[in-house]
Amino acid sequence: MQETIYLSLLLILSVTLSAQTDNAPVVGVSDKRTEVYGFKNARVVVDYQTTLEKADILISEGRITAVGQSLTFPKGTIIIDLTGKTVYPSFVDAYTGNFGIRTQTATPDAVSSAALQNIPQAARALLSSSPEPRPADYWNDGINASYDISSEFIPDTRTAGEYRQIGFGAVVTFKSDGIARGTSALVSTGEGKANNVILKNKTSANFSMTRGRSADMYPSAQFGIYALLRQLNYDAQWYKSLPAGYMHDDGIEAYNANLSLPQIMEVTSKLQVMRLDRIGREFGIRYIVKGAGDEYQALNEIAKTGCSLIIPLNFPEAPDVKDPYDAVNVAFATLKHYDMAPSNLSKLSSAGLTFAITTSDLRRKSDFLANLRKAVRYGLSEKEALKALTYTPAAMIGASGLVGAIRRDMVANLLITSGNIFNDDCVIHENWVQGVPYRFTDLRIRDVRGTYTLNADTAVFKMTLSGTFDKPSIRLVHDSTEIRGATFSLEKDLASITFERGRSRYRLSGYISENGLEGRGQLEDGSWMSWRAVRTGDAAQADSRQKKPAPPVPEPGKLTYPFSAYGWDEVPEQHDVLFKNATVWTNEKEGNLENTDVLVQKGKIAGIGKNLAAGKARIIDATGMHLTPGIIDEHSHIAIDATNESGQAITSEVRISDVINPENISIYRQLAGGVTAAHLLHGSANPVGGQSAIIKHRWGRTAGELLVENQAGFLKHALGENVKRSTSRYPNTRMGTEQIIRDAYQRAVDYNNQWKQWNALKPAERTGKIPPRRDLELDPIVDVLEGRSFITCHTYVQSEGTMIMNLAKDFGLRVNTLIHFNEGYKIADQIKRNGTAASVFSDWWNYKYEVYEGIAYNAATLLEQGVLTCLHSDDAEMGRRLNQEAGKIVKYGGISETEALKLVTLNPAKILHLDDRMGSIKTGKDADLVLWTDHPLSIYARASKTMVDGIIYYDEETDAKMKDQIDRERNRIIANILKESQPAASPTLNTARR
Amino acid sequence: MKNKILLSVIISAFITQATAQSPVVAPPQKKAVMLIGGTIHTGTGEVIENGAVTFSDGRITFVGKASDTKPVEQVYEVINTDGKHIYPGLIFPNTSLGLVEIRSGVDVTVDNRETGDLNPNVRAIAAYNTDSHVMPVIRSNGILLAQIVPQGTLLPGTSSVVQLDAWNWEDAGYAVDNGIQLGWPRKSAAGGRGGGAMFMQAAPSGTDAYNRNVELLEKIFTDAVAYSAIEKPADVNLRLEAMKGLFDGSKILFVSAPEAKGIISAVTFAKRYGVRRIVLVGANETAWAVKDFLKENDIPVILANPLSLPAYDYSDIKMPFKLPSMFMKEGILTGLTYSSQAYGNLPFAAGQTVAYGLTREEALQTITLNNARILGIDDRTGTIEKGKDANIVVSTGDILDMKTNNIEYAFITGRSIDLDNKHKQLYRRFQEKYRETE
Repeated sequence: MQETIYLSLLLILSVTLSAQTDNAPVVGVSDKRTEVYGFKNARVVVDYQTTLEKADILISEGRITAVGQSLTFPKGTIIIDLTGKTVYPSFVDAYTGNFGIRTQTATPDAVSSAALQNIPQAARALLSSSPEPRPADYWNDGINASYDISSEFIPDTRTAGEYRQIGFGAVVTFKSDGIARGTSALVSTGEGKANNVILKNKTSANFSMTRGRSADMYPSAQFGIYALLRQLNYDAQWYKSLPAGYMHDDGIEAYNANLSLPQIMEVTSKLQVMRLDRIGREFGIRYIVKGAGDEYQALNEIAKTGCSLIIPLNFPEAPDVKDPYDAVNVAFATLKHYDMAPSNLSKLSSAGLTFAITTSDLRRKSDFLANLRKAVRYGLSEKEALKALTYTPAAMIGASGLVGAIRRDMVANLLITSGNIFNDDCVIHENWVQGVPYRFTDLRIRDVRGTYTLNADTAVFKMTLSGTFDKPSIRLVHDSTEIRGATFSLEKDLASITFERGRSRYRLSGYISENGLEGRGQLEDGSWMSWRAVRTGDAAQADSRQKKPAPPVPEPGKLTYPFSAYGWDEVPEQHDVLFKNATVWTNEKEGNLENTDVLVQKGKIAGIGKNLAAGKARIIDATGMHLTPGIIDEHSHIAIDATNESGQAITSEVRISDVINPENISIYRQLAGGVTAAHLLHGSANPVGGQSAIIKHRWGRTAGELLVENQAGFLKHALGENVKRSTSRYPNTRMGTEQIIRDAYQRAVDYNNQWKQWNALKPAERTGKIPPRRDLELDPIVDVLEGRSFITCHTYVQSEGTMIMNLAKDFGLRVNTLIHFNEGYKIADQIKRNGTAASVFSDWWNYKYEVYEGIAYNAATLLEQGVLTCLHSDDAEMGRRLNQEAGKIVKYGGISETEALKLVTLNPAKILHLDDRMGSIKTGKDADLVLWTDHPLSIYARASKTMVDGIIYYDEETDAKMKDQIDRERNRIIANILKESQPAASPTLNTARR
Repeated sequence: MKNKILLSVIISAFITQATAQSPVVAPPQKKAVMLIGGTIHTGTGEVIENGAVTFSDGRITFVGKASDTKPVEQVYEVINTDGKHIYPGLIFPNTSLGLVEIRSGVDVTVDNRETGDLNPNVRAIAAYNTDSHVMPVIRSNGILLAQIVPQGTLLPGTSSVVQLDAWNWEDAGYAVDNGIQLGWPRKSAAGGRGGGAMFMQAAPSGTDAYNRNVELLEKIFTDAVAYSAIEKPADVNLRLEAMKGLFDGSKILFVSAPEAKGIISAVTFAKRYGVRRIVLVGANETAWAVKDFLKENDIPVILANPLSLPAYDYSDIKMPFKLPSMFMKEGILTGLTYSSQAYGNLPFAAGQTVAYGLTREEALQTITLNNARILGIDDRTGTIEKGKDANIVVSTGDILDMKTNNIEYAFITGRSIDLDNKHKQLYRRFQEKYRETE
C-alpha cells in the first residue's frame, strides 16, 4: 500500500518529466494525454528467472511504474484484464544492422584478383603516389571508427513492425559496412520521433571481418583484416603519445574514445572467434563476438576463449536430396550442418557460454519464432532462451536498467501472449513498446474459437471454429456429414459464414454475442432468416484434435574432431609403438637398414635396431614394408583461409598463422600420402607477401596445436610474372620488382635505426619528440635483418634469382630458399656460393612463359652442384604423392634412391631449420614416420600408416571404417530430411476427418 | 657412373648447339628391325618373357619367343633388349597438345577454343603445331600418339588422333577428324571438384541456361540429321556437314558431362538423334553413380586423370585412384588420360591404379589397347600384334613406375624416333657450363 502511494507521487513526477521529452513547439492544438495503463491478473514474467502469477503491471508515460500482485491503480488508469495471458518483457536484439539508416547498394565484399586488374577506379587509387584528398580520417577506408549511428538514424516503421511482430521491443542498430563501423545505438521498435525512439546512443563500438564498401583495395583478404586491426591499435596508441599539432585523425580519436564501450565484432565463421580473441587480447580488448551460427563446431575452443557471443538462428534450409543423383552433390559438411545447427545454442549453453540471440542473418524475420522454438526443442532451456533474448543482450550493452525485464522505471516494453512463448501454438497478442500498444490480435475481442450448435433456417449444425485467433477456420457437420467448402471470416467482432447444403447456398452475417454468434442471413432466393450459434465448448477442446504434433526431434549426429568428413570421434592419443622388421630408410649415415625395428616412445624415436624389446609398446609387424621419415611439404597452401593479400604490393604484415584452418580435409589427405608436415606460405601476388607458418598434420587438433613448436620465421617474397601481372599496381616489370623490394628493405633499415635511437633515449629526453610509429609492415623485415626470420622467395627465371641473392647481400643477408626456381639449374653454382637452398618442382614446366625453360633435370643438377635442394607440391593433390615426385628424380638425373627420398624428408627439414627434430630416423627425433606397403619411391607404394609425434593419424584400415561411418551418417541425415519434408498432416488425422 | 660417361659423349656431340631445338623427324623405316630379348607387354594382357618383335615397312611382322626367331643381321637391324621391357606406344587421349603451347599469360599461343558454342566444324588438326617443344618431352616417356581436342561448351569442334613425330600436321594425322566433341551443359551450381571434364568447361549453370543450351543442341542435331539425308545440298553448311559422320558411324561423339543426370541426358540425347558411337570423356566418380546406365548402353569411358583429388568431402580419399579398377571390373571399356599435356606422366597415372585394384597389364591396357579402341584406332595400334603399326617403345624398366621408366627406343610406324628433347638439351648445356667452370 505504501508503495502505491509512493507510486502515485512518482506518476505526477513523470508527467512533468514527460513534458520535457518533446522540446519542439506545439503546432496547432496540443493533444497531450495521460496514458496510464493497468494490466491485471496476468502471468508476469518479470525477468528470465522470476515469474509472478496473477500479477498486475502499471505503466505510465512509456515507463513501468509498478509490478506486483493486487496493485491499486490510480484513478484514470485504463485497465486491461489479462486473465489467462502471459506478459514477457519484450525481447532485445543486440545486433540489428542498418535498422533505420539508408544503405547504399552493397558491392561485392571480396576483392578478386580479377577485380584488381579490371576496376579503373581501384587502379587509380593504387597507382597514384598521392591518393585522392580525403578528410582527416584514418588512412584506410575500411576503418570508419568515428561514425555515429544517431547522426543518421530515423525510425523505419516497416522494419520496426516486423521486429514487433516477433516480439522485439528494443534493438541495437549500427551501420553494417566496413571493418570498423563506429558506434551503435539502442533504439525501441516503436514509432515516433528519433529523439524518443533512441533509448541509448553509443551502446557499442562495432567491427566486422568484412571490408564492405571500402574504396581501398586493402585489405582484400582475411589475414589483411587482422593485420589492419593490429595496426589500427598500434596507431591508436602511438597517436596518444604525439605532441600537439603534429597530426589530427578523426578515426583514431574516435577509436580511442570508443574503447571504453563494449567492442562487438562480427565474424563469418567460428574459427574467427579464436583468431579475434587472440588479437583482442594482444591489445587488452575482449570482443563480444557476433557469430555465424556454426559455433557448436568448435565448441571446446570457443568455450576456452570465454567470449560473450551474439548468435543468430539462421538454421540452414534442408538441402535437396529427393533425387539420389542430386543428393550426390550435397557435401557432407552441408548435411552435418543442417543436422546440427539447431542444437548450436543448446551446446553453447551447456558449455557455459554467455550468449544473446539475434534476428540477424535470418532469411525472413518471420522465421524467428519457429527457429527459436526449434532451438528449444533441440535442448536449449526456456530459461536460457529467455535470458538470451532479454537480460543478456541488454547487459552486454549496459542497458539492463532500461530493457529486458519488467521492473519499475524500465521502459514499458511488454509482450502479451496467449501462453508460453516457446510453445508452437502460442500467439503474440500485443507488443507494447514504450507504453504504446501494437496489436496483432485484439484482446478486447472475444476469442471465438470453440464448438457451437448452429441453428439456421430450421437446420441444426455442429460448428467448430479453430486455428488462429483472428483467422479461425470452420468445420460444419450436419447429421454427421461434413459440409465441404464452408467459409468463416472475422472482422473485429463481425462474422460472416457461407456454406452450401442440399441445393441451397447460405450467406450468414452476424456479430459476437454473449454466448456465441448471431445475426441474419440470406438464401439464394433472396429471402432473409435469423441464425444463432450457441457456444458449447472452448477452443482448447476443439484444437486438441487438429493440433499438429510438434515434429519429433531427430537425434543429432556427433561432433567430430575436426568438424569435417574423416574427423575423429575422439582425437587419437599417443602410444608407444614398436615397428618390427621393416626396411628402415634412416636418412642418416647408416643408410637403409633391412629387417630392423624402430621403437617409438612418448612421441620420439627411442631406438633403432634388431630385435628390440617392445616393453609396453604396441607392436606393428612391418615385415616386407618400408619405414621412412614423414614427408615434409616445403611449399603448400592447404589448410589456410586466405592465400594472397593482393591489396598492396608489400604486405609483410599478414600472417599465415592467423588463418590456419585445422578442418581442411587436405590435411587428412596429405597424411594418406605420408606427408606429416607442411610449410604454409602466402601466395605469390606480392613482392613481399607475408609471414608463413609450419604445421604438422595433427588431424583433429586445433589451429594452434598444428603449429610446429619453436619454428623459425619465414617471410615470403615473390618475383616475376605473378607480382607484375596486375597492370594497375606497381611493379609491372622485373626492374620495378627489384626496386620495390630494395625500397622496403631500406625503409626497414631506417625504421630499425629510428627505434634503436628512440630506445636509447632516456624518458626525459623523449618529451616533445615524436616517437617512431610501430609499423607492422616493416617489423617482419626487421626480423629478417636481425636474423630472427628468413627470406623464402618465389623465383622462376635465373635473372631474378641472381637479383634477389644480390639484393639480400647488399643488406648483409642470405636468401634462405629460392622456391619453384625452375631455372635454378642455370645458376646452380651461384646458388651454392650464396649458401642458398632451392625448393623446386620435379617436372612442372611450360604452363607459363617463365617456366618455358623449366626442366625435369633441375633438381638433379642443383644436387650435383651441391645445392641443398628439396621438392615441394604447391598443390593439394600432388602434395599427397611427393614420394613419387622424389622417385622422378631417380629417372630425371639418375640420383641415388636414398638421396631422392631426402628431397622430400631430410632436405626440407634442413631448409626449414627443423632437422634437429625432423627429417630422419634417428634416436631422439620426432616420431614422424610412414609405413609403406612397397618401395617408397615407387608408384606402387601406398602409405599404410602415417604417424606424427608417435600418434597414428592415418591408417588404411581405420580409413575404410571411417568411410563406412560417413556413408551411414549421410544416409541417416538424408532419411531425416526426407521424413521432415513429408506433408504436414499425418495420415491418421486425415482418416479421422473423413 | 656409366651414365656420366655416356653423357660426356653426348655432350661433346652437342657442344655447338646453342639453343633447344626439336629433334629431326625420323625418316621412314628402311630396314626391318628385330627387338630381341626382354619382356614384351603386348597390351592384350599377354606378357612374353625373353621375346622378340620384328617389324618392317612400319608394320609388325612377328611377335613371339626369341627362341622362335633368328636375328639375321643381313635382314634385320637387331636390337638387343635383354632385361628391358617392350610396350605398345602409349596413347594420350583428350589433350590440347600442339594447340596450346603456353597456357597462362601468353594468349597468342593458345589455339584450342574458338568463339561461340556451336563449332562442330572447327578442326583441331588444322591448328596442330608439330614443332611444339612439348611433343619430344612426352615422347621420351613413351607416349607416341595423342588425341587433340578443341575445348569449349556444347559443340567445340572436331578432334583428330596424331602421331607425335612429324614435319607437319598432314604427316602427323593418324585418324583425322574422327571425333566430334560435345560439352553437355551443367545444370546445378553445386557439385564436386577435381578430376572432372578438364578440357570442356561446363556451360553457365542454372536451369534456364541449361534449358537454353539443350534447346540449341536439339536444334542443331535435328537440322544435322535432316541435312545428312540430302545428298547434294544446295547450300552447303559447314557446321552440319561436319556432323554428318556422327549418323553414319564414321565419327565418334566424345561426350563430356559434369553431372550424373547430365550423363544420362547427353547419352539419351545422342542416341535419340541416331549417333552411332558415343564415348564419355573425363569421367570421374560422378560417372560412377550412373555406371549401370553406361553399361546397359555400352558406353566406353575415358576416365579423368587418376592423379586428381576426390570430387566430394565425403568421397573415399583414394577414389580417383580406384575408379579405373572399379569401371573395368564392371566390364566397361575404360581408358585413361592425364590432365596436363606438357608432362609425360600418363604412364604414371596408369601405374597409380595398380596399388588400387588393377594388375600391371590391365593398367597398361588403359593407356594402350583401351584408348585405341575408344579412339577407333585399334585396328592399327594399341597392342604389339602382327599386322599392326610398329608403334613400340622399349624401356629399361617398368614403364608405369617413374623410378624405372626410361625409354631407350621408340618407333612410330617403324621409324626410330629421336628421344632427345628440350629438357635433355638444356640439361646437357648447363652440365657443360659446370664442366667448364670446374
